[in-house]
Amino acid sequence: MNVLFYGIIIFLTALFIHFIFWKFYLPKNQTMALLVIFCIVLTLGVAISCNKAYCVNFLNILKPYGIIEYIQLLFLFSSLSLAYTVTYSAIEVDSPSLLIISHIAQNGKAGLAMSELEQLIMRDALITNRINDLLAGKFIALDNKIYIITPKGRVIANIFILYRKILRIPKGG
Amino acid sequence: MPLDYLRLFSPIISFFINVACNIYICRYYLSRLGLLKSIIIAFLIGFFILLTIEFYYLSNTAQACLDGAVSSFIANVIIYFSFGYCYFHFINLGETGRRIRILRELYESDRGLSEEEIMARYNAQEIFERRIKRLIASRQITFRGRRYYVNNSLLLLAFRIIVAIKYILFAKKN
Repeated sequence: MNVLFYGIIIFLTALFIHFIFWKFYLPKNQTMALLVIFCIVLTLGVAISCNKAYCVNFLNILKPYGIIEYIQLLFLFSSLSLAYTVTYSAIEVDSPSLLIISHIAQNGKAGLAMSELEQLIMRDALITNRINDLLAGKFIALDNKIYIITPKGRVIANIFILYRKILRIPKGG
Repeated sequence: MPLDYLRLFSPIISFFINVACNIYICRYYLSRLGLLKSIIIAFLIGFFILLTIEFYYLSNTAQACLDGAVSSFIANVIIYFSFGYCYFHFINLGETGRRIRILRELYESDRGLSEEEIMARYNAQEIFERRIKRLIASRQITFRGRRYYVNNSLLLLAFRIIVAIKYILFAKKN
């Protein structure tokens, strides 16, 4: 019970701090800020539970004991944090697929005509907003009205190109 | 003791088996199954491996220690599901991510691209058509009499959850 309980408690604490922090200040690089919060909370959570001075077990549930339980705690927290972080990227930007679904659903049983949907969805901002995100993240740079990929962007592109080659999947988007 | 370590790393081992199976299925059966089914099948194979290791461990655990072993099992299932979910997102990002597509277009161009050139290669029309095709193929929406209709859509549920989280975080209703 201890690893499951303490892992979830520490994760929920990190989420709570994230929600409160966002109310007062929205970081420029939200994903990085989220990862920093998760790392700090995990470190503090493990340090507190390891410290013999804090002998009282929360709600009478024993603290994790031994290297195996602490490694499992680390796996549990890391996996939940990563899952939340990748979900957050969908919260941060508007997904075209979700926008399509929501516009059609708003019309209920009447459905939505093709022409109306095209007018609602087909905006150049779908691309230009993402270009601006890439510029802000320094994955690309603008040089005399030409966009060029930076070394950081090259690393990311390489990962996806290589993996799609391994899977033998054609270009996406 | 070795069993304890096997058990500790069981979600990680299962996850790597999941990935290996996904690579194999995609390379040889992609045209028959499609990407989504290949991800699901590989995930289920990994999950089966996880369950096998866990049940073997539980069957060798003393009755007195069963409580702790069961909660540890639940933790391992959560770990495996979370990593599986992250992997699904990683594949999906390569498949549908606009930023990834833009990066790849720039990567493949020797001298960089202007905004007009990016739009010529990848634009809102293409995004719209690809998404619609994918949504119809996965039965999230249907197209009848030149109108689109939502089915009982998992994506619609995902959208509502995201709107709720956005409201909590940013106090925005859209």
